[in-house]
Amino acid sequence: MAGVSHGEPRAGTEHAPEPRVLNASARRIVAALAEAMLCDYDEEHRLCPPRPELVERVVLGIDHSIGAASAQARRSWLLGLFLLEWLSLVYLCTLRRMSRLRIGRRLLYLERLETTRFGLLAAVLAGFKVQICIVAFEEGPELASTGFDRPSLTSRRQLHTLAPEARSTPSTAPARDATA
Amino acid sequence: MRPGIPASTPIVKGRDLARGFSEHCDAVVIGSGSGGAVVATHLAEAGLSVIVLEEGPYYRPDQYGAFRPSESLRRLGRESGMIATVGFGQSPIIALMAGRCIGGSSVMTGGICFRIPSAIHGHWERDLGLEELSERALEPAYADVERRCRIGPVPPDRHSHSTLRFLQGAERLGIPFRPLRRNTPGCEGNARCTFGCPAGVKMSVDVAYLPRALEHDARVISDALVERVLIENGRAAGVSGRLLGAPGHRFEIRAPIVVSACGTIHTPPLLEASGIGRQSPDLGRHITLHPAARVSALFDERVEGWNGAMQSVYSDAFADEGITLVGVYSAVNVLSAAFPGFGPTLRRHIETLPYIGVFGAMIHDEGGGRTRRGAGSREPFVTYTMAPPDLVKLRRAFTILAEMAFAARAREVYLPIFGLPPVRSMDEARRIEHMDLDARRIECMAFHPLGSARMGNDPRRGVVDQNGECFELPGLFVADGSVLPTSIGVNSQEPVMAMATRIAWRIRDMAPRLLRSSTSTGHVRVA
Repeated sequence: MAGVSHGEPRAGTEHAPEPRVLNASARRIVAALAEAMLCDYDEEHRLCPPRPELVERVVLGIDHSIGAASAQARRSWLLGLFLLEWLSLVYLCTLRRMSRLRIGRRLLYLERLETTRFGLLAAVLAGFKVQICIVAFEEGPELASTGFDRPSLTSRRQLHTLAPEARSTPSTAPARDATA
Repeated sequence: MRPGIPASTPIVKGRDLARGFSEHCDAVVIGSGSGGAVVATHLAEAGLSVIVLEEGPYYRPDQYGAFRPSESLRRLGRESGMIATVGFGQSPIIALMAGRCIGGSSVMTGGICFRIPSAIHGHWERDLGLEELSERALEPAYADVERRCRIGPVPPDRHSHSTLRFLQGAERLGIPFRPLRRNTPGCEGNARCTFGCPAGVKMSVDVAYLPRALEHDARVISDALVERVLIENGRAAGVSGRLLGAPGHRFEIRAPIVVSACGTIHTPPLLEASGIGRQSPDLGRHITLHPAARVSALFDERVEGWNGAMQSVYSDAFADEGITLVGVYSAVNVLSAAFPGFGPTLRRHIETLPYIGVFGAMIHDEGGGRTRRGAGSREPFVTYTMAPPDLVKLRRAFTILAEMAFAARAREVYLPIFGLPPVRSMDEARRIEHMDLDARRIECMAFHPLGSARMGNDPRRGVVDQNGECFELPGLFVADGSVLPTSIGVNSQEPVMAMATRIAWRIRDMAPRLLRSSTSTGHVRVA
């Protein structure tokens, strides 16, 4: 192209940096939500929170997602967090905000909020549920718990190479494949 | 700001530039998605000097094909994949998926390619007087897109068992299905098209078009947010903006041909910010979305829906009701959020994922969307008020999908309503279709925003003419989904590309006049 001068760019990075924008309070609320959403029973059928590293990964993932969004979206998500933190006063008739509740009470609160007749509140909760599940069930034991049988969600499906005679035979049945 | 784009690679990463720049060219294209990449390629092939400006970052297909889903959403998706329309009245909150990267939303689609149905073309030609948008007139553009993107039907051996299950049910109910046509030659069936194809076979525009544009000396700059269209002597004269990730670095590009292809949601705010659109009361309004939803079903046998094409079949058997049924799947971590409950309840549901089949539907909506400039933010504010008949269609679609699942011997069906336990019979599904329900509890998504700067025959009926040129500002063209005059009822990727092709051909034909009339730079060159 005429008129283009070729100069030196700054030292580039392969990936754009991912900003973190949540303050300590917001991170604590996300962690409390993640603990309740991802808790499970132990061998003695008692509720136990998920592994700390899983919660940490979820908080970091949400932080990066919100950090990559616009200022307007950040404000909306922070407002959503504020609502989820304080609506426990209404839905559990308690004086404790969500992140200060024991895990069983937090779970009860989320279940009540999910089935509330006020759809907007259920939708706000669902927004966080989607984000938390996407990060949580993306790798490690959580991905394995989905039954997904490839090493990771970026792994390619491994297909059998058909013998030449089989290739010439039309079939409507799906190829049965061997997974890695 | 110094003259010239400093660069060492064909696609320039704006965030890595040491300074801003000013430049001039024949045509500047805003956006590198299904509209922008197509226009830029055709104009570059015609010999015009072209600069493409993309707000999002640049990643090569081998890079984004290796992203985990959450990473794809953050790095390739607009607002990290978290855009939601605000609804008034009985309207679901609709998650709107759009790309923000080199290649735009085409990088994040399932690759489905439909031509606009004949009935829609007929309506545009007959009722709206848009004779240049007839099926016959667009035929060469469709053919060109299909050749470049290597569009073809999904072969039967790429159907997943999830899809086959629902097809069994459809067959028992007498619902006919057809194979989808997609731009994925050599598809391996990895079922994660929307997060970037790990096999690199999806012919998104960064693969099918932009390399051709670069061969013809087009320049593509990522991380470049256009803030306004420059106007001189009543004509478009270029654009100005800033480089994202490089604070304080601004750019200005002067060109007699300006093409806005930043999408249905972003084109109107850009025009408004440039003082354009006051004569067009419809600018930014009447957006159609094709609201969509998916239903999951639990079967007794393993389904493993992740093995096979993410989308492979569709049915227009309910087109007269405004419903299109489409096979669909998604990554397991995304599907895990669709189950009701939390904690142990949620985890037990998630453990059934290998036995879960998924199918989807979208509706042909009336268009209650609006996009406005956001306050103190680069992103617009999008509202969508669903028309009552559209809500009826959406809930009817759930029942149809449930019926297909039960006919395929599903044990339980999960309807897309937050917190709703799985249903176990058709009676239950029919009762839910008609029960009193806050529409915001419906899980709804959309991928095809269209119609915010519609084509029309005069400024009272549209924002751009049939060449895509803005009535209010000569030299400014719009070539994205915003020019489609109505909802089309099918996936919009190929229609947007075909319209962009046609607009590019018109610009090419008009180029000698457009370049002569340029007063912006004295840089006049007839292609």
